[in-house]
Amino acid sequence: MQSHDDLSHRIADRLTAAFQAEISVRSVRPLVGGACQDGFRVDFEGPDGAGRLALRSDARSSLPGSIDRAAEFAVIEAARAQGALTPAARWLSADLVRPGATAYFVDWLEGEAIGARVTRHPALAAARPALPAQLATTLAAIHRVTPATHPTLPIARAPFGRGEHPARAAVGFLRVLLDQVARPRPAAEAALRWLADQRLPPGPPTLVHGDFRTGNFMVGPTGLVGVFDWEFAHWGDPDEDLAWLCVRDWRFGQVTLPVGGVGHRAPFYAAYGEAAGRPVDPARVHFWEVAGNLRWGSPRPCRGSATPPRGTTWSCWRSLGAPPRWSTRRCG
Amino acid sequence: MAQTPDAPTLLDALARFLGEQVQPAIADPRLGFRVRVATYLAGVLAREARLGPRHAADEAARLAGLLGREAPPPGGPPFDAWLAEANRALASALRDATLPPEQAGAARAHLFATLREALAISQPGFDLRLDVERPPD
Repeated sequence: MQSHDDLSHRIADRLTAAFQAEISVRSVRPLVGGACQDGFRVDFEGPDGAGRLALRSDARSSLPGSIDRAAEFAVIEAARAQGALTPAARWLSADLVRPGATAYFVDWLEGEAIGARVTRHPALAAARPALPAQLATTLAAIHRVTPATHPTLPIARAPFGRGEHPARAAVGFLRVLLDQVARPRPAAEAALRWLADQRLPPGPPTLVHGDFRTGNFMVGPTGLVGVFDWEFAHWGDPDEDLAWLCVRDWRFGQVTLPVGGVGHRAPFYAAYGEAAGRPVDPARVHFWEVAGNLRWGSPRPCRGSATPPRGTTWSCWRSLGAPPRWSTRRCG
Repeated sequence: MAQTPDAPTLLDALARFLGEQVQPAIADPRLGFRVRVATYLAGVLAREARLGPRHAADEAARLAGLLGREAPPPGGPPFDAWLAEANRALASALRDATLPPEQAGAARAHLFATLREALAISQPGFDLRLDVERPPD
């Protein structure tokens, strides 16, 4: 195990080369909540004064469906080039945090990302009305990245499965999830039957952020500051992103506001339709929202195969010190 | 012989103790969060102890009607095994769409009732109204 001092030195060397100016690193602090990657906050001092960056590195183990940092870097560049509001990724670096792990720096964003504060904190009351249209615009930009425009983007049709038919792949993916649960789940079976019976026709595939929801974007006084957490980016159905933002768990107490707990559907759909140049079909979003709810309601193993206790309180059970092998989230 | 006070009453007392006396005395916010989680879990256990047996009996009665089977008297391992097997049968019937069409309404009502029962234990405050999303004023 290398010490943080070694890491600070390597980061200082990397930044000195990048800025072509002497950089001294003041602190390197692990970011909390990064269960799937190693993330750090880097404070440094250079000729232009103090600066701050985030650093994201491949973790020792990754979750199914997640892409590595090199792919993430390419995805962020492609999305930014289309106008998506997301902080710039800089200086892809091999072996920076650990031998064999790729890392990159990200411009530091100031703001609030914690879901319950985004949806309810009084200080953001003026920001919330702007969010749905801003989120719609950024989603439309993300969805302008397509396999046709970016044939070499190193991502797969994951995590909702592979193949040319995202909806069918989603149904197959959810089938696998349900089959991992020993306890019979009649309501989930009814939902999956409904999804399978819809036979949603595929549209042209686009880049899908894959985890576009309240909690994964930063909000400031005037609204959206930037989207992050690109590790589940994949080629798929753009309506999956619109729907995931509306899944009930991301409303953080504001259940009457389906769009991430900050807005109503109609203006969000209208803003997306205008920015994307295609009208939103609410029935398609509904399909993906049902799929998203079913995905979120299905526990899946992170690693190993410990059996979680029965009930809907698994995340609580985990936070009290249960073995970290199970997660109700894709990223525990 | 029934214990006095009974399990739900003891668990209520535990939840109240954690929430009203332990929680306010904790300065460390991370530990405070875990105590809040523990308080919530004690509440879940209290409601499970209080409502669980009745919910299971009601669920079994509905399943018996849906599947045309006879349920054993509630309580005990044979009842638990019957309930698990009936749920497996309903799950496969819904998966394969083999329920008779005239049962669709009853099956849907059963799923909603079971959801309401589960939420009454795990999240009594959950808003289950289907029109929970209101259009803008």
